[in-house]
Amino acid sequence: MNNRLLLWQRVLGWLALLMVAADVYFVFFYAPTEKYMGDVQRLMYYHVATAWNAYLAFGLVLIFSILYLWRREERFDHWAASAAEVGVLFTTLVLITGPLWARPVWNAWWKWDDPRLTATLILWLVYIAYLILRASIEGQRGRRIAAVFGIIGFVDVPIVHFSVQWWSSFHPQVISSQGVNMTGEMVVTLVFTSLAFMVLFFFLLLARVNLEKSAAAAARLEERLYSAD
Amino acid sequence: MGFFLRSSLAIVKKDLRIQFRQKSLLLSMIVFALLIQVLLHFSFQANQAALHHVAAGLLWLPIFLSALLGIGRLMAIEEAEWNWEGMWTAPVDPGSIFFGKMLGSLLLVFLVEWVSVPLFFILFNPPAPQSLPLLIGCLLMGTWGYVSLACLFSVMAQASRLGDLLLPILLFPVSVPLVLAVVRLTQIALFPTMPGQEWVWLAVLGAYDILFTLLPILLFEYLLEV
Repeated sequence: MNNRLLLWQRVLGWLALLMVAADVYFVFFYAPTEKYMGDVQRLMYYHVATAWNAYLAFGLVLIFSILYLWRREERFDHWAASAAEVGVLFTTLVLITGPLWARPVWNAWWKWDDPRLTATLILWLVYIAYLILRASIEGQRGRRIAAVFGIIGFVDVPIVHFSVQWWSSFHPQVISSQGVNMTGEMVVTLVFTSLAFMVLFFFLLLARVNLEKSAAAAARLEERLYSAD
Repeated sequence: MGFFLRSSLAIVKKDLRIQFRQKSLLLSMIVFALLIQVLLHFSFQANQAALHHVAAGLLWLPIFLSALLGIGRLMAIEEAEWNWEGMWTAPVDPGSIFFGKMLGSLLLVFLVEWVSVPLFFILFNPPAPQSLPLLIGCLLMGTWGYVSLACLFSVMAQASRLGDLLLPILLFPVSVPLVLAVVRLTQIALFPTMPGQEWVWLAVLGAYDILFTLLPILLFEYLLEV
């Protein structure tokens, strides 16, 4: 069991390295330069790719939190904790690349009237809170409490999304109901970047899960050592 | 259902009896709310010209902050002397324990509002509200959702090493939709603005209240279990 996960971690690690390296070609050479925004628009590929994978991460936190409360198997808790950590990392990247792009294009680092910006910030804060909660709480009860917050936090996400949207709006709608406002090369680049980051995401996730497993195993050994004498 | 409510009401009665005998918590919450109002007045320079923009904050921040501190104290009563464990062993639905604690906190915060909202009108002299029923409805619904989550998160915070410091960290990001809704509704209720929009925000608030009352009732047993 453990060895299989380690093997997967290694495979995904190499694959992520290859794909992210190849992705540099797609983002900087293959994709055409955007007419009005210029090269700074290339940030969009990383921005959107990390955003999608962050949503995936937080969805996994919800699923593994429910699984943990239902089945009470420690491994589900490891997965939830790890997914939240990598999700916060990716959301942090989204919140860094967004303002870097916005400064030249909108002439402001941050606009509170943009709903997705605000919603992403709130999302980030919710899962930062989840990580702080996890760090300050221990044992079985701690794991159950974290799982309950993981569920409540995710249920809140769509409400935040819609309420912030009704508050006001002007995010670039790259993919709208009218279709995709990009050239074919741009779409290919975006899809490939997203896949590369998804592989990277699962590599980081597995690395964290394996670390959690080792930490739990070490704690059990320590306990046995103390109970022996 | 009847049994569920009866066991909740038993907890409400117990909490209110303690609070009305001590009186110190309720009084401190009211004084604290007044102090926040005074501080907000100085920091926003809330004269008549600025009032249009800051009125909702002046009304709600004292309530939010004083509820935060009060609920932390009210829930902490049960941390002492293994009270949670005692209630957990009682043959009642754990959800009803949560609901009872929540209703008790809610009544306490309503009592604070009974003082702090009239004080808002006396101190800042806003024009008479456009729609008093909307203002009252918004106060009731906004307080409900906020208090429900505050009660749930306060049990989590008190189980952690950070204690009550963790409560706002957990509560504030999750309550953002509620804050947006009550601020907009308060603005609509106090000043003449776009008509029609209040239904959107009432719907947000209603959905929020229902969801975050039912979920804690369902999930509360996982927090108590030892």
